[in-house]
Amino acid sequence: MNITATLVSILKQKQADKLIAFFDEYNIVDIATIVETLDVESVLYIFKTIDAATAGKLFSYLSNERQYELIQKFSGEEIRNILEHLYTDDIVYFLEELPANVVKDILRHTDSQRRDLVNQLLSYPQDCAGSIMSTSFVELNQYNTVEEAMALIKHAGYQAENITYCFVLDYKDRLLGIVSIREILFAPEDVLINDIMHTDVVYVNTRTDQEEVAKLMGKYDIQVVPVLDESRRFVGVITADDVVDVMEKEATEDMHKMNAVGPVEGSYLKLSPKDLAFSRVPWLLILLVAYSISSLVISANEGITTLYPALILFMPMLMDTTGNAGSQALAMVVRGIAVDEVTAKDWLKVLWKELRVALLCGICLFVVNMIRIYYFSGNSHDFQFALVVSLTVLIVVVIAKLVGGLLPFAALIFKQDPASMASPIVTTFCDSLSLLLYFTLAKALL
Amino acid sequence: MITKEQLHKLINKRDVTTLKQIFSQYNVIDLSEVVAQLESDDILWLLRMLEKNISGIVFSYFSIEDQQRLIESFTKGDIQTVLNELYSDDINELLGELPANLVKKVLTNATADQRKEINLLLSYPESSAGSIMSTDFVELKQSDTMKQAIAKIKRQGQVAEVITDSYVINDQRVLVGAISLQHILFEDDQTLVGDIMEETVVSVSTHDDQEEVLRVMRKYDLMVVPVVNDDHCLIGIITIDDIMDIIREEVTEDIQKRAAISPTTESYLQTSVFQMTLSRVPWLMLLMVASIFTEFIIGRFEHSLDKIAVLAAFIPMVMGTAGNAGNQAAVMIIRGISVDDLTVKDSFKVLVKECKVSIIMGLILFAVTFARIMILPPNASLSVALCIGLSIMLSLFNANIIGGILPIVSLALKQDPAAMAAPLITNIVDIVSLLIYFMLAIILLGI
Repeated sequence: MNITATLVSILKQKQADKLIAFFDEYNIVDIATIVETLDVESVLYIFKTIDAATAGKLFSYLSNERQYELIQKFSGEEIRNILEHLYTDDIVYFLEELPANVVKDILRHTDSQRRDLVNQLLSYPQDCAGSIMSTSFVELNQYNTVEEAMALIKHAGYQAENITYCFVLDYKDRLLGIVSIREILFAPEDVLINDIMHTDVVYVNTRTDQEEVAKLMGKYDIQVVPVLDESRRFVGVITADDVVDVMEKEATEDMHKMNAVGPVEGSYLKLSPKDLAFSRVPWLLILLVAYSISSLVISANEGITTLYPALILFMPMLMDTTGNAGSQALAMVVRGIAVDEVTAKDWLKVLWKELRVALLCGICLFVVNMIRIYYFSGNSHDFQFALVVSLTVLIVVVIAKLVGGLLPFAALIFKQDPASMASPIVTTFCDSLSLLLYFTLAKALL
Repeated sequence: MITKEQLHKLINKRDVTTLKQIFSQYNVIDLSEVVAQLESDDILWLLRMLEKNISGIVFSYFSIEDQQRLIESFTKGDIQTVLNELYSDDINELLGELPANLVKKVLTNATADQRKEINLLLSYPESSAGSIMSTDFVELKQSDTMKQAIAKIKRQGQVAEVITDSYVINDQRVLVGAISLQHILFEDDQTLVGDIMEETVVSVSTHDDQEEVLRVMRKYDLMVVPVVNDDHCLIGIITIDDIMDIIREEVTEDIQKRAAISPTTESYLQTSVFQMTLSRVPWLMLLMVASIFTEFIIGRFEHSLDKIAVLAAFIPMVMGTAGNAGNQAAVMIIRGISVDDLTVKDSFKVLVKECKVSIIMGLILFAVTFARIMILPPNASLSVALCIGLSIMLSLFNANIIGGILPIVSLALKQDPAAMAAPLITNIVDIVSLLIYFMLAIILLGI
């Protein structure tokens, strides 16, 4: 019997002892995926049966919609139990999505100390370090001996999300240093924490953007980073597993932007058709109207196209090749900037590199195109014609690569995300340019 | 921060005390950036002078080029020290990038134990869990008491990459449980590991692709995941910091593939012009030649263009809009597959959703196109405007469906969905859009 069927049959017969055994046997994340699909009555039965700690864990792995639905059905006592067993950052994550009056209602069930903390966390803008940090950690005093520290870790560590590092604070909660559990474990018992702690600590501010946090943790290869507030007081920690989610989200956002998709929250299958349509339609409209330039160029050159109708045949090829070449350069540079391999001061290097790459690419394409059109097209053995098309390709590839390579820097200057220089924008721009060049060359050479 | 000149002076004066002080004061990673700029001789002296574990860390943060330069002048002793101090996954990464002659130099100078471990790691396929795992972890037995467990952690922890999570194995080395240091410290000294360990341990197999490892760690919110072989024996661990590097690599690769660039391994500024051209030109050429189809279509309908010249002026708009729309749909599906567990069995849902989305978008685009042609030059007659508006609506519909389904087809064929490059989708969408455009012109405008 598979795991879903097992759970369903246990629930049908209301076998409490089997249900508890079931939660012991399977991974809570897998169980949560199944609970997500059950009817509310069964879920409520589960929460009544299992112990509070497991209930808290299960709750934190459910979707926001499910959590909201359950909270409305829970008694005050049940809410209190759940909240008591959730990490503060999980509570915040859950509350952030709820309407303000519901939040207030739920917070009534927490003790005042916890409530202050949650309110504090809720006040940080989304996407900054303060909103993703965890507030359960082990704090030590610099005058603790290693033995005392061990006792504190034994006591506090059970509640803490992570004990890889302990944080040494002064009486005003300012961060003096950090010490790893490894160092505490290996040091003699009578040594002072002050003597083994590290004072040169990499930290972030509550308002540091979460993308910055991810970059910093990547650079220094650290799994835990302390968060300080404006007065340099220690308020929380961010662990690498939180940052992984941030990185994936940022990557999605970047890739969406690069393809001219507006910001959307949520996974594809859960988003409504309306949300999906509105995330995509604005740029399509702008670009559609921008294509008027291409249309104008073409109709202004009707004279030459009636004389040489074959010119129209190669328009799509020209446009596509330009767009592709520009997008390639754009993708390389935007990604380079995103992972910090390329910085604003490298623009000249990029320009020089793209110029050389473009010339090489352009020459290859020129040769292939000459052969193809001269020997294998409807206009075979018309050297002049083949030259016009191929020469346009060559020049336009160079321009497209330079535009694609440099536009991200323009975005940097205007303090915009380089990824917002979507490749369709570059394509549309270069398309118009390539048509203009195409017809100018045609007039000159044919 | 200290400058490379200051460091160089101190090294020249052989000022051991000041140097040691500097290394205990500053962040080692920042320092290794400065050290890397020094001459090889200076670095060698510095690495030999510093405590072994510190010089190991400094070395591990050098770029592969700098590491290579140093290994060339390393003695046998230096090599053994470095191998001792580096974590096995770092060693593996280093050897994977070194030229063959240097790999040989490292292996011949390694101790027998070191050699055995390295050979094991090198035998796994690239980007599999086996190739990125570290073999330095803490292992416990079910029969250990908490006291014994702590003693074991203290002993094995000297070399282990992670000590906050220990893994429990039986006599056949089969992974049977996991236990966190928090639990061990919290319980009584005499409690047995077997009694309190977590028995449902999420693990990955050595053959699993690193993307699968990433998916598992994200799903279960893990900082460390154990790696097992086919017999479920524990042979390594993968930590979250390795995964962070992998996300960067995978995303870069996806973005490059999407832009029709063969993936390059080095950073933008380090890749040579020739390599970069090679990674881009084949696709450009292929797609350029593939335009034969659009040429053929336009050629067949040339007489229609002769009659209503303005039709040609709107070819870029119809083609461009459809291409853009197709790629919007494609990128959403590609990200959905890599992050949100979109699978082949969701094809129908995607299809239905894209249809609904297309209806909303199509109506809006139709209205705007119509208005644009009536208002902005070049203008056209009412019937031509209608024809173009309808073409855009229909080709958008087609583009969204092609863009939404192709990545899933690619997945079903066991290919990377991101390999559905934007230009490829554009090309396919272009052909259909032009056909729709001309067919509609013939039907509606009677030419």
